[in-house]
Amino acid sequence: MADMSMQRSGVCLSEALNLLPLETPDATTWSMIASKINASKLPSRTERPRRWQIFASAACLCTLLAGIIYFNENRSVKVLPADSQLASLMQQSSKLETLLLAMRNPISSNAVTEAWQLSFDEQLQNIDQQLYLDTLSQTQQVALWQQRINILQQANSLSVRQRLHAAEGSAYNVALVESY
Amino acid sequence: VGQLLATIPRQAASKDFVSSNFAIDIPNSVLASARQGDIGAFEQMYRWFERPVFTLAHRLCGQREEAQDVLQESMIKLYHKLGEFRGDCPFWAWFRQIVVNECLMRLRKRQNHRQTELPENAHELEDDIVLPPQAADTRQLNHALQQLPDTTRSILWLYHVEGYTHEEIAELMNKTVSFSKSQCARGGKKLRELLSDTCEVIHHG
Repeated sequence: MADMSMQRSGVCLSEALNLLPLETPDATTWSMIASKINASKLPSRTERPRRWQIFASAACLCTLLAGIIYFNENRSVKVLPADSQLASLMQQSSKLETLLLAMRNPISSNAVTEAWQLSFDEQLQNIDQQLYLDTLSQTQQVALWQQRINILQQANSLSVRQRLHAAEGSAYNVALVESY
Repeated sequence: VGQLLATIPRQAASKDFVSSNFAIDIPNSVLASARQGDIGAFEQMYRWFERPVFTLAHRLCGQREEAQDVLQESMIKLYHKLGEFRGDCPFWAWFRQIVVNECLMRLRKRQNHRQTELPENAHELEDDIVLPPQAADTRQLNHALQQLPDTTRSILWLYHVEGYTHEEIAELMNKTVSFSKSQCARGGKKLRELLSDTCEVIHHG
């Protein structure tokens, strides 16, 4: 409100406009802004798979299959001495584990995926604990490493199928049911 | 924000009453934290600017609901553009330009559907308009302002309250300087008529 002198004689346009009080927005505005900002930080979970993701998944699958075939051929054809056999198994295990880690996607994960990943991790930990024992014979070590590789192959196979199902837009749970 | 950031309005010395409500100095520490994504610091900035932004948006857009939308959009844009502020002008002036651009973008969309300005008259360039005493009544002045076309009201507000020059307004709106001057003068006179009508209604009623 203006003073009495303004009410008697009139008021300059600039002065009148500048004396208008500030207006107040709704009290809920900030919570809406904050939620929009938080939402913009998260990647969309409903994004459709892009063409490059489908190609990447297919490439992963091919690499894995080639690796498995190569490993199986090596295993079936060559009879290696115990030391070199162990080294070869360790190398193979390392490759498969690297591939598995590369394929794990925390963004597109869900409860079912998490469950079987935990299951595989637990099995690997059990084997690793046994491999730490000094009392193991070389034959036992080879057997454990072989077991480790089998688990990693299963995990990789499931990961690849999960990626392919996701790329095609279908639910991953189907793959899990089929595999078991 | 674009190229218009280079034309941050200067406060016209001749206009004694021009003092933008935006002229708030943000502490550097708060600004730095907000730029690093600290949502708490950003909320602090929101609390400082919410009323100036909302008032400016309401004056330019003319509708409370749209002003609410402008406030939200401007704050979200500010959050994402904070890293672009180089400090070569006051922060509040930089941010105000984001808000003004958001409002003018919405006004331009409306221009396709209805007239948002008063008919132009090159001879009406009167600047020092004196309003009747009713202008001291917030409700009456607000009511009269709401009856002005959107573009006319926006030009009046940008010139008389925010301190933009006619050259700057013309650039913002892609119009001529004489258009801005003419709308300012016509808007002032229309405001005076509207308030005088209210006065007569009161006296004769």
